[in-house]
Amino acid sequence: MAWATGISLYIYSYMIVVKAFGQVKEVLGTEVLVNKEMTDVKSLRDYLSNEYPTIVWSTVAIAVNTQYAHDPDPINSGDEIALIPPVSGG
Amino acid sequence: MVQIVENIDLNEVYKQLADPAAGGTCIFVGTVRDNSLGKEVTELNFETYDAMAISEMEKIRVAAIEKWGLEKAIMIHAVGEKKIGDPVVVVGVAAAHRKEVFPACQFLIDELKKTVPIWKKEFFTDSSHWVSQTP
Repeated sequence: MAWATGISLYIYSYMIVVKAFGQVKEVLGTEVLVNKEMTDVKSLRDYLSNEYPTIVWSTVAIAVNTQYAHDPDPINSGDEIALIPPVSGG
Repeated sequence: MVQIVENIDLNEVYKQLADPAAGGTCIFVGTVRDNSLGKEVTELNFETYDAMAISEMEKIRVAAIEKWGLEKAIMIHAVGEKKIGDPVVVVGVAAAHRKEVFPACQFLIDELKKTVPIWKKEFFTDSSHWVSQTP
């Protein structure tokens, strides 16, 4: 139909759900939604460090899909990300 | 067997470790202590990242079985509010001889404390804090 011609709708949705635990959870809440594209663990760490400067990020590990991850490891849409402050089980 | 549970049943752990090929069984039980940092502790609260905790515990369990040739190895951690004296963690191994079971059992608990995503919050009479070091 003529009235619809040329109308394009772009929906851009990129969102990472980041789980938080322990003392990090008390600052961030149970989950943080990140609406910015992150390519790897380092980019997420840098983003979070900037957003939440009160957390000592050098002590917080990041897990991707329930495995400890390192700065160069990639992050893909749909991955399960978690922030792991120093553990104290036992 | 690795598990995250509300309450630990020590008798069940011992039953699970029974094995006809095992001549030695060693079990470590961690319980809630009534003091920390020179202050009276009233209770602990444990939080876990369940899926990853199970995965990390299984890695440790498999490594111990391979290193010491164990017949069986078990790791169980409790979650939630725990009172003084409550068991919060139990690790146990069964092997042919005693020589293997002591170091294997120590390995299980030491590695759990290093890598498994479980967090302990200590409650004192006047305050509380998340424990960030595991002596």
